[in-house]
Amino acid sequence: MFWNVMEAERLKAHNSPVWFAFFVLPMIPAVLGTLNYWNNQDLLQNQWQDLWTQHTLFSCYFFLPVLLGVYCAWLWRLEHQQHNWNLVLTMPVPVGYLYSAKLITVAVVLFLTQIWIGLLFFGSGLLCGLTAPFPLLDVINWLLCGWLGGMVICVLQLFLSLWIRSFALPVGIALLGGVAGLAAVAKGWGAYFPYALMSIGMRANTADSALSCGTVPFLFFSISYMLLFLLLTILYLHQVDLAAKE
Amino acid sequence: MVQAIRLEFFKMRGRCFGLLLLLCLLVQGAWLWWTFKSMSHLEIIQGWQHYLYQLPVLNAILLPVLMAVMASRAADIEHKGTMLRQLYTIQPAGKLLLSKLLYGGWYLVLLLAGQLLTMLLIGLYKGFYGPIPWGYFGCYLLFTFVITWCIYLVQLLLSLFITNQLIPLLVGAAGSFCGLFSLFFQQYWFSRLILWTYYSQLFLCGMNWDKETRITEMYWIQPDWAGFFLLTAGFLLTIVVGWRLLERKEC
Amino acid sequence: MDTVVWTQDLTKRYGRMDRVRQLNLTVPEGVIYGFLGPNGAGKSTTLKMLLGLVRPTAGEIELFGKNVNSANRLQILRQVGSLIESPSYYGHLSGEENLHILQKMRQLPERNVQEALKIVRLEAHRDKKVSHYSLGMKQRLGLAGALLAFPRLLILDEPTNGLDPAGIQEMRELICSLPERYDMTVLISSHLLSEIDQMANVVGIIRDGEMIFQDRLERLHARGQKQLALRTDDNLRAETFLSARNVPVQRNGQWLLVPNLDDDTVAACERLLLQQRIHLLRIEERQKSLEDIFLELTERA
Repeated sequence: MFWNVMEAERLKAHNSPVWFAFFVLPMIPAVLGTLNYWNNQDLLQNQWQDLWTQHTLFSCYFFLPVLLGVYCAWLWRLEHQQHNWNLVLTMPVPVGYLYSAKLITVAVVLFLTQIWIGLLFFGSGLLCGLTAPFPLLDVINWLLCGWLGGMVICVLQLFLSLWIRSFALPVGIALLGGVAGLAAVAKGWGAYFPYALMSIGMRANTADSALSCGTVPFLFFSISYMLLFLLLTILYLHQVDLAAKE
Repeated sequence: MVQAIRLEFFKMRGRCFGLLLLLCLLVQGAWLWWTFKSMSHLEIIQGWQHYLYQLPVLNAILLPVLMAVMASRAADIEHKGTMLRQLYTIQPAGKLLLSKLLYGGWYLVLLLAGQLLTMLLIGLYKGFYGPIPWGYFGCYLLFTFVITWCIYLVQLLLSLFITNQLIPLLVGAAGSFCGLFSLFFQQYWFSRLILWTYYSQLFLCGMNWDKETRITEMYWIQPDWAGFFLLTAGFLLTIVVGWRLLERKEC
Repeated sequence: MDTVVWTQDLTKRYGRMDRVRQLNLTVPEGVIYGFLGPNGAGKSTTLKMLLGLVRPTAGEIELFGKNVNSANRLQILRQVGSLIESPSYYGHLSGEENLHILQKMRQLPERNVQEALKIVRLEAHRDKKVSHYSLGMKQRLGLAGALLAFPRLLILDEPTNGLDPAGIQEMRELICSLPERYDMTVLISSHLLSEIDQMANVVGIIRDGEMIFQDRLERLHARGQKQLALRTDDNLRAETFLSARNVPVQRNGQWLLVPNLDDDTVAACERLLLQQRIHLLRIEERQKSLEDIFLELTERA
């Protein structure tokens, strides 16, 4: 039953420009970041690490939260439109399945995006002729932590888009959240702010092996925030009369 | 035309335009306050110049996606209830475009006024040195207004033509991304063609950071009038082309 | 009588397909014109072309005797009210506010809004947000918007869509009263025959983008030839006997179908049958239903 719901989600995504966005947009920081690295090689000595920050700094604070916000808004938009809730709620499928399917979809998309970012990074480094050995384990670590931090944003945005039926408003919130994340990290409060966790995980500021806020706080807050927004979503799905709202 | 604009205000009630921009202003104000809180004496002397270095950065980060969101909200009300079909039998398409454009422009003026007020308040409170550089402030406000209004226009056209608001928002994200990069990285020949990079192209203030002495030195940059006129020409051309295309649109 | 709507060779092509092909539509003044056709026949496309929402590939359109072009289109449309496909509205505003917007844009007096709300019976729901309206209420609002200017020409696309039976009857009575009360010409499109049959006095039938019938409703009815159906106690012998007398007979189950004979001929037949000891049990007048005529017309290749 659940796999049928997943299949339905996959079909809904057919012909959508979202795939294109997740494929093309990461190329912008890859290209421009690499160009900048190339032009400033005398200043940037730490080869792979410096190239990494060029690639990820803007992505994590501004672009990825917005892109995830847009994607989560789009996932619910399909149900909010055309009285689709009437159809969905009368299906012999618990609404929790529907939510889980969307969550898994966005998790998979984010995971694939992380892999793509990693591949672009590797390719860019080769193009630049970096001589140092590729920090494979570190990169995998950064991408995985980034994925975990990104999931926090996804759960939050999925809740916002479920609650707020406008398409664009949650995207605006994602943007402001991302910027506020930058401020939070600079102040040292990054671990406490949901939008900043992805940047911390991706080591967007400095490409270190260790997490700037510490592993335990990072894991703790990531999981806590995810559980919190998950709980809010479940409460909302159960309490609110979804089909009545327009 | 006045009637059309008034109707636009009536239509857009409860769409949170003002709220979004207020939030933006608050974020920017908080950022500025936090930056200037811990400034050294030397930096306070160059306080006014710091503004014109910081603010374009903040604008380039926040405003493009905000304009995309706002333009999307302005256009979406027509798509949701298929109003275009009715509107096209009553008023020219160009009037609709202009009234929405002016509506957005008004809020933009309010935002920039808010920015100016914030700058003055913080500056006078912190005791920034020297006379207020009204000339440069005027240029900054004018440049920022035209760049941001142009982004709003492009997003508005995209949102009016394309019913699925996903696409304009993605374009807005991609554009702002390019703009961000151009802020910190050098300009390339194709930068002139990308609207979002104009925040950095029309910078009025530069910064020299000496690695050894760790002293920041701000310097004025002469306004790039050529770039500005190119931008304005592009803006006017976009209005004309957009107008024509909108009139030919089938509902 | 003046012509309110006139088209010549109106064509709309999408890609390689002609959605509407050389349509000659004529709507006289003061009538209720029923534009009939199966789903996908090109009704909405035609109406959109009249309003300038879709650009024709070829052909001419005249409204109120004036050739419509991009320069005078909006000026002419001041006298036209429309409701195409689905009602247009701003969901986050109330019904009354929606009408106010249209009223201000059309530069009409405020009382038109109150009048329109009264006519469509939406007064009780005027302050409710349109996103909370039922389908029928939205439809009424759409009609109110079309009526707002009390235009000379009203173009309605499936106006009874989503209405309950009481609502359909109200809408029908309203539309029928418009030419008399407000001097309006009404052009309604529908795929519901029964609706058009009860409202229209002139009918145009479109199929696959082509007009296959355009005339007064009575002429359409007349196409359904009347027949007489007879039942006797010995149909077989009756059939043989009548055929021998050159009366075309068709057997249909327990009935014998003959053309619509005049009274004297019927009386004579009865007398003759009785002479043969065949008793006439039933005589019925039969006519092809409008539906049959319509299906026949639209299925003909």
